[in-house]
Amino acid sequence: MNETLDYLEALAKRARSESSPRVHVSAQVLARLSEPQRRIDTHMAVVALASAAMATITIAVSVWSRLAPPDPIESMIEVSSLLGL
Amino acid sequence: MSQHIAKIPAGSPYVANVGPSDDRPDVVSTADRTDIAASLHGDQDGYARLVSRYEAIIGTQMWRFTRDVSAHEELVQEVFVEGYMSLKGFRGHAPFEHWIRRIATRVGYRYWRKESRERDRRNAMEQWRRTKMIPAADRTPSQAAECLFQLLETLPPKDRLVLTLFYFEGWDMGEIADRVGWSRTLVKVRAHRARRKLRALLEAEGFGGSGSTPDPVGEVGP
Repeated sequence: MNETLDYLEALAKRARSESSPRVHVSAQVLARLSEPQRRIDTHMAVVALASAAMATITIAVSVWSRLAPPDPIESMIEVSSLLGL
Repeated sequence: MSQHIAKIPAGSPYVANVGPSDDRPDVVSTADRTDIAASLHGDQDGYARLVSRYEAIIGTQMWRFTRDVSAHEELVQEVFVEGYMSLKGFRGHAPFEHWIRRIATRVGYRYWRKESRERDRRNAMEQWRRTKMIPAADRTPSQAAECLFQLLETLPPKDRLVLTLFYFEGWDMGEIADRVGWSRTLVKVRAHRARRKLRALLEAEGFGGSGSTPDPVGEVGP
């Protein structure tokens, strides 16, 4: 092997005996595992609320339009007045 | 009393059969098997035990990917969070340690890809130059690790990954291929080229010289 690769091997041999910083991550891992679930729950709640609101508006409009069917002549007059005819 | 975290949807082949899903022998220790099953049922204490059992090993591995203490802890956490999310896919064909170390390799590599910038590589080279004349034998393990880390940091992420696992972990080409998910030939070719780049870089710095013996990583041509 050449000198350069010998140098790398020697460095690696010494480096492998280095101790890494000690870590205790159980609590943080469990906290992170609970966190996304809450975030997903919040997002789902917002989406559900928005869907419910849209559904309520749609139902209200459809009920109103069924109860008061538009008169075609009245609609024509409204449109023509809007256009300034 | 056990607390609960996000329960993984049912259907893990490992838990369903209390062992691997086919005829291969179960190589998972009893303690790991119990804790994996508990975790898959949402038992927080079960997963906490798994984390405590492997955090030192994963801590050492992630120290090869960053020398920054806070980033290091973040990475270790990330490995276990990702491990939990993927636990359903654990088949029990290899020890849990192998499985979680494969995830650690993936997390570390992703971190490099996100962080790797040309400026950082140049800085790594500058830092290495300041201490390059100190022989390896005169360095403490930490200094040697720092020096090797800086040298490997000068390489593109894929090359760096192969040589980090080769030098720091002492894994052979087969083990690297298994942990990274690349073919053995690809790992061999990449290691060979990466070492050639590193050697060229060191020699350009006036370090060492060419010998007649070939690179033992492999004589797979360019």
